Amino acid sequence: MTLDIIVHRVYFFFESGIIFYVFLINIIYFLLTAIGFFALRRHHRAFSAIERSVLVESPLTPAVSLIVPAYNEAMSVEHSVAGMLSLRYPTYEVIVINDGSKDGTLPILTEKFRLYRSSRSTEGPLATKAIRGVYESSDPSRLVVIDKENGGKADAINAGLNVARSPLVMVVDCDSLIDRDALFNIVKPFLDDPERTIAVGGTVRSVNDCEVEHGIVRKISTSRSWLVNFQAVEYLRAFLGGRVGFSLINGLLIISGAAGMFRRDAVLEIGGFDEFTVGEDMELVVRMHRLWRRKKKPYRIVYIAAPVCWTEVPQTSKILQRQRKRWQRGTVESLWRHREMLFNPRFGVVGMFAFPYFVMFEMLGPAVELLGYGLTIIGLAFRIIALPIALLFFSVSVMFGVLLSTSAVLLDEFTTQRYPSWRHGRQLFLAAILENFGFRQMLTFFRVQGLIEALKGKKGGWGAMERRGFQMVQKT
Amino acid sequence: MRRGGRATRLQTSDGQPILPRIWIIGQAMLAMAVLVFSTWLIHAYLLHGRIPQGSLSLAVAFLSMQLISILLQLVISFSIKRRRESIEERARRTQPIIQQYLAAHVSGTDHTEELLKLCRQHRDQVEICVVEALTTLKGFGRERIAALSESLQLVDVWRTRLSSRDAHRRKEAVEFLGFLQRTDLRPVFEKCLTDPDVLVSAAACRSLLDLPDLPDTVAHLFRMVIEGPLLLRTMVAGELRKHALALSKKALPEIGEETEESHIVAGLGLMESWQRALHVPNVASLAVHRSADVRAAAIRSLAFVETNGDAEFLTLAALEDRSPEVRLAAVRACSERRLLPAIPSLKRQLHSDNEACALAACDALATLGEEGRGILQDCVLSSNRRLAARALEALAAVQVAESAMSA
Repeated sequence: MTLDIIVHRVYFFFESGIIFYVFLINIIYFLLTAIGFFALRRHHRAFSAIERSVLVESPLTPAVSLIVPAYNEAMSVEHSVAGMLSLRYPTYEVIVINDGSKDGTLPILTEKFRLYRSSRSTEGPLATKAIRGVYESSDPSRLVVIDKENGGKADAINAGLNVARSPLVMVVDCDSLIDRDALFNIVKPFLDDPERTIAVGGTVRSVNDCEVEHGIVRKISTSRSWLVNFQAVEYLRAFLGGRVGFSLINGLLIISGAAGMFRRDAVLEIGGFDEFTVGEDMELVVRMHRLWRRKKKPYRIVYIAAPVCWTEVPQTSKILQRQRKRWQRGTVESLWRHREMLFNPRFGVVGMFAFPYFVMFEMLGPAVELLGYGLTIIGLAFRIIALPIALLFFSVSVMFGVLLSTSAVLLDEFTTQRYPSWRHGRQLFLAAILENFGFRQMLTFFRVQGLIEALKGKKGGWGAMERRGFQMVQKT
Repeated sequence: MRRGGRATRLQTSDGQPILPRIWIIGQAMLAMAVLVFSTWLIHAYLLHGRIPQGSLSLAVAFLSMQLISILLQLVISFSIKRRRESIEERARRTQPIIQQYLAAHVSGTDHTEELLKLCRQHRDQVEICVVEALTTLKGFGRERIAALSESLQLVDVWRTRLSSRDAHRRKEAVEFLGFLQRTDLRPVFEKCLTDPDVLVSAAACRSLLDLPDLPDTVAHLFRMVIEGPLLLRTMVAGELRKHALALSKKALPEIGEETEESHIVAGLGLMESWQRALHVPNVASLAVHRSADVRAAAIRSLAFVETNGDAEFLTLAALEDRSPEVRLAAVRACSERRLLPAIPSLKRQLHSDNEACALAACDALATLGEEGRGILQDCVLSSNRRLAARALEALAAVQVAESAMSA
């Protein structure tokens, strides 16, 4: 056997492996999107305005504590906290944790919300970095601010968990705005099944270029920046497609750090958020699955399609790169830490499907995709494969991506209908097509970088993002 | 009581009905099968002769199918947007006119003819305006609009909607019919109580509770609600509160006769949530029930409910209960009832093994005058940091409340 034949055989072995991989991933993506479509058509029901008014009056509506960790958020903290204080919900408190910010986050809060030093106890079951002070608002609002030494996002959330008194806690990023009726929607699964529901995740959407007034999103719009619109489509695809499907089989491994509600006792039972990982949101949910499956207690981790939170997405590729590398590191860390669950029938659908899916497609996917591009270029360079075949393969793969993205946009049209006009629909559809030519490949590259960083063992604290702040998008 | 079908009997490990899930996954599989089969059709009948290589023909067929699907989605999406925009445009045009007619109708001028004419062309818009009027008006105005909705045949439309397969439409129909407050619709609402969707039955409950002079119905609904899920209780609790006095005569005393403990707990929980001073002597007997959950719920209710004078004794006795959950309820009840004789027991609770009890005892002592606060002041110097912090917080809260009162 000549060297030439060996090279060809090795090449085709890898090439067919990648083709099989692409085939498999696309089948799963398609099925998840289709499940999302049918599940949302059947089950997507937020509370109506009449029901919301009934819940406002009801003495049994559960109290909620919003936990808002903040680090160097001077640009957005005023608007986001003001928005959180004007939600339509009868019983809730907002707990902002200033995690040793250096940019004047605390003075802004003190001035704008007329804070005074309070005696509220911060002692609780979770160990955190030292608390420097607790403040409450002199206004008749339910705002508590904890000032503590810097310890990272998870540590800040744990401090909030210690202070929270409500049975349900919602963790919200400080750079995010909460939808006015979000609490009603996200509380619904807890009312449906209070014994079993331990966590609920909601949909996160891009707020860039939307009209914001006093921390409330007044008018929803697509962005002038294509990079933002690509991310808007990507969020729709991830939330309305993938997460609905995983939620249906109780295999949801991620509840977005920007908007997730948990039963406080459940979070305390597993020891709170983990301080030693960058993907604390995913790590917590995986740990919940692990513990509850071990205990053999029935439980539910649910995703709801109604928009819960609006977040500022990166406007430049540099910040996007930093964010995606961080997310990928978080995924790898969580999966590695709980590797015992992989193909372990003890963990049911999580161990046999959700976890392997995340390992094969979310963790290793970018590397395989990049390898596929590399092999195709090598194959073309050495004339192992013909150009028309390579182009056809590329077209099929890209077109499938387009199909999934346009499906997500259509799904949004059928369910939440948040983008009001014809112009927005056109822009989103265009973004759904164009994102497959360059943007997706760029994300693949960033995620591979994140994977490499995770393998090197890089650690990280707060995922600081350069912000324009909501006042920049505010139109008065 | 409800939903005894096969769908609820077959459950997944997380306690959810399995059949709807299988149905959704089946539909998704079918969608994929349609995609694959259409691809094969294009490959076999259109491309196979023209493209000699089989795999190449299949790939091109797949590509074509994807393009067709994308175009189809584009068309659907844009037609939805177009339709919505035209509806909004129509609403902008017609709603002010309808609202003017309705306002004039309420003030006495008969505009039934004009509204009927509008209803034939823009029924949705008329319906929206009529429902808005029904929710905002009271008394005579509401009666006029209710009579008008009959003349406009909206009531018939809503009745028809009750048999829709879409739970959301059924719920809307029940709510709209409920706004009419017509006693002749009672059988309709009673039928809807057994709807498989909790929110529909909750709407029916609320509509029934809105009807006048129905003491038996209220008692029946109370029983149904305490046997139902939390969502139903939450959606009806506020409305039931208005009938608390009537319920305290028969339905509330009968809670103790329930065989299912969870129903007793739910009933007591409802009673507690109303925070109304009711005379329900039977609650006292539940404070010594064999189930700790029931005992705790009864003690919590005793904070608000009047019995035959033994409430204080039972609450104090519950402070020594073996169950921490009951002790916690008792500590909170002591605070609510301002029970000064509880101070020695509460002082002991400060050193309880159960942390929740100890922390609650701090809050309770702060509300029990100088003696209670004196104990807490000692606690502030305790080596137990959590207890000390909570004592400080409780003392500060009382101070803030007192200064607010004096101001």
